[in-house]
Amino acid sequence: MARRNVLLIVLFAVGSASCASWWWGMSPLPHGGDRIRVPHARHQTAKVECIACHEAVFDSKALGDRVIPEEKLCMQCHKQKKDDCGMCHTAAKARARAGQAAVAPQTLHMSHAAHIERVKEDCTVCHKALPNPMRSDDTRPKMAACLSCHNHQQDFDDGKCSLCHVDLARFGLKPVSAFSHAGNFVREHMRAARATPQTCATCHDQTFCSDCHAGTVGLRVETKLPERVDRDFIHRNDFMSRHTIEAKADPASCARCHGTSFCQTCHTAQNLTPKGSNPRNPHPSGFSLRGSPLVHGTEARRDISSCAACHDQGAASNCVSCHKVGGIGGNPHPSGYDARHPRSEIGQNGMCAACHAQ
Amino acid sequence: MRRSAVRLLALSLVAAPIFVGTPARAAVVEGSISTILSGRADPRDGNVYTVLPLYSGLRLTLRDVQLAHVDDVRLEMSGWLGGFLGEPIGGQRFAGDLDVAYLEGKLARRHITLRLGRQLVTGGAARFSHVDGAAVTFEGKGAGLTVYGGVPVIPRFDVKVGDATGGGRLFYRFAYQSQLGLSFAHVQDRGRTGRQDIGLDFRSQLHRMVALSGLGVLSLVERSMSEIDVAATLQPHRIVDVRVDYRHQRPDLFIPRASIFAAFSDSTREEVGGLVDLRPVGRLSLVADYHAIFDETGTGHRAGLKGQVRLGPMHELTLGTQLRLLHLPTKGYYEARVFGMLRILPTLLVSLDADAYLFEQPINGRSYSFTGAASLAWDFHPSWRAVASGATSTTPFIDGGYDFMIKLAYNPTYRFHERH
Repeated sequence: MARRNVLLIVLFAVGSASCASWWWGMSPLPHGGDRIRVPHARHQTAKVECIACHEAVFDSKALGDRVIPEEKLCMQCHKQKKDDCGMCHTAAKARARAGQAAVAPQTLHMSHAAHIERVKEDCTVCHKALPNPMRSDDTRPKMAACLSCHNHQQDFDDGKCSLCHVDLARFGLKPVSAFSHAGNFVREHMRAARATPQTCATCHDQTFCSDCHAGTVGLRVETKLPERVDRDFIHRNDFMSRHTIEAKADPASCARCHGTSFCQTCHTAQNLTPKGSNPRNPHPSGFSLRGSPLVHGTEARRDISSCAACHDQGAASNCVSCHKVGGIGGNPHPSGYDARHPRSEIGQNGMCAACHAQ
Repeated sequence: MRRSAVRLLALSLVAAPIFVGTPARAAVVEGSISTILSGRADPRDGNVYTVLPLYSGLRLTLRDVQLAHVDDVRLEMSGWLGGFLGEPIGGQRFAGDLDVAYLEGKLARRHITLRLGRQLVTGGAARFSHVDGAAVTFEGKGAGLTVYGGVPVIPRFDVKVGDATGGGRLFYRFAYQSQLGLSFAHVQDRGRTGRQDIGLDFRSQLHRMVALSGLGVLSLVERSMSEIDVAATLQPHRIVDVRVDYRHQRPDLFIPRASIFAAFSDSTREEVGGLVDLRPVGRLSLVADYHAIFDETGTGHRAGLKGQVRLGPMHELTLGTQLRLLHLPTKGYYEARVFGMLRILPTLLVSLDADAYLFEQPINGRSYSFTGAASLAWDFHPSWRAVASGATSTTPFIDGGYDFMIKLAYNPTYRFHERH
């Protein structure tokens, strides 16, 4: 026992140490936090063409390419401000200290070279607004600008997001207009997932789904995220006391994730089996009494899943001993069963052989 | 667990020649690891045991692998390992498993998606299958076909849910969020047909404000509908969502056909109702729902009301309350719950939860249940989170029950080689 406990503590320590080995991953701000202030509006008023500064867009095939001009190009017009770094730089000294910044990962596949001719070198077709040093608006083109072209709208309708988006699972976007998660989406998502699984998969990896849904049930999501008291978790708090009520209200809802064997495992641990000694008999009085309003036959017709939760442990553990052909229990099949299952099935289906001689 | 490992190894060997055609040029690894130590009083067979599970969950994603002829290659893995320091559960001292572990790639200019390994299969009649196997999706011009096959995953407690499974779904995507699908699912169990269903499903965004969805599943074995589900969601204004839905089920058709219990019942169950989600101002949300449940025992009711408000300049404080009832002809309960979350600092979150149930019929001789819980979450580094929580409860099964949990979670991103 002690050795096993020590082993588990070692496991815990190794896991934590592995995490700690990645500790030193914080990256500083790019360029030491320096930004370039360019009053695009003023340049526009001065009738400076976009491509006069951004000529590199003609050859740029990826968003990570440098399309902002070199300083020397700015200096062609702004010679007199050569020593006034602050005119353009917000933190020139910090940039000098920081050196070359790491290239940020790109979230979109976007080739300016492929677009510039199509828009007849009119950048405003996509760039409706341009950065201004006095405003902090996000001036990047909106997705609606992309979808205004027919072929991109078709790609969108076909769900071919990866033609533009590098990876929506990695660089997630808040689903506002196209696929709203408003309302009680946790409860509603089942309907969306079974009718449009590819749409879900656009943004969510299966590891995301398996956090709650994996059949291996490592730890319930309620236990993993106790701080998220705002979420509608199914098994939150005292689910054990109400599980029979929930199961009765919607047995299929349980069966979607848990087989009857799942119930049995816990019930066996509780000694709630047909041969168990637990005094908490879940059956009401009159359950075995023919003519009683709570006789088991009627209950079984109405709620067979509850029966199977404890009794589906082989023929000897259930109804077969009384209901086999010639037994005292009579025919347990529902009406119309014989029409759907001809007698020839008896020889082919081993389940039938528990009661019927071949 | 050993069988699962053998299956996954076999699948990996099959997958390797397909995916490993040329050397990878770039890769990004993202992962998360959570280590959780928890403890609780576990009422079992008339006694109360102390269980101390130690759990470690690992999630790993390898993506941006650049291979010739294969796009969007990724490896996804999620698994867990646990042990019990106190009283073992079910005689087990250690447990562990893989939730998903698959390799995915897109071929033929992304017209074919191939996924190999342990995976979840969703859509139509497949319901939500957990499979060791392969799934291929062919897609072009809006239409597509998904075909899958494999062995159902043996869930924890080592119980089989079938020997083999397979199926497919033919679909037409007429807009990003609108699809029509025709599907088939078969499960072979103990040499017999455990389930054989065909399904028709759809989801359609008819209008910016109206979405319809539905699923009908027909059991070919019983020649009867096991499930019909239709729902309409309306969003007449951005502050309100309204949903109405109807469900028909035959619960016995969710029991494997190979079980003898599949031969005893053919009862049906209907549920109809709706939900209103109101967000009159950005900080306030109100959700009300009601469903009537009809089965052979009579009519039941399920209803709920949840209100939540966020206060403070940065929405630091969230307060919520929830009322629910589930009333069936033979049993039911009422729930009242209040909860709150307070972000004391940008990195420090405190939450409180008080939950009470009143049962219509006494359970184990008691008609009520109460649980109080508190937790503290600290994001002490951009990639790290520590959580401690504790709860106490008085339920039909235990007086003064307790539950505690300490969690350490790490979510790093590691770039092997940046793309040029």
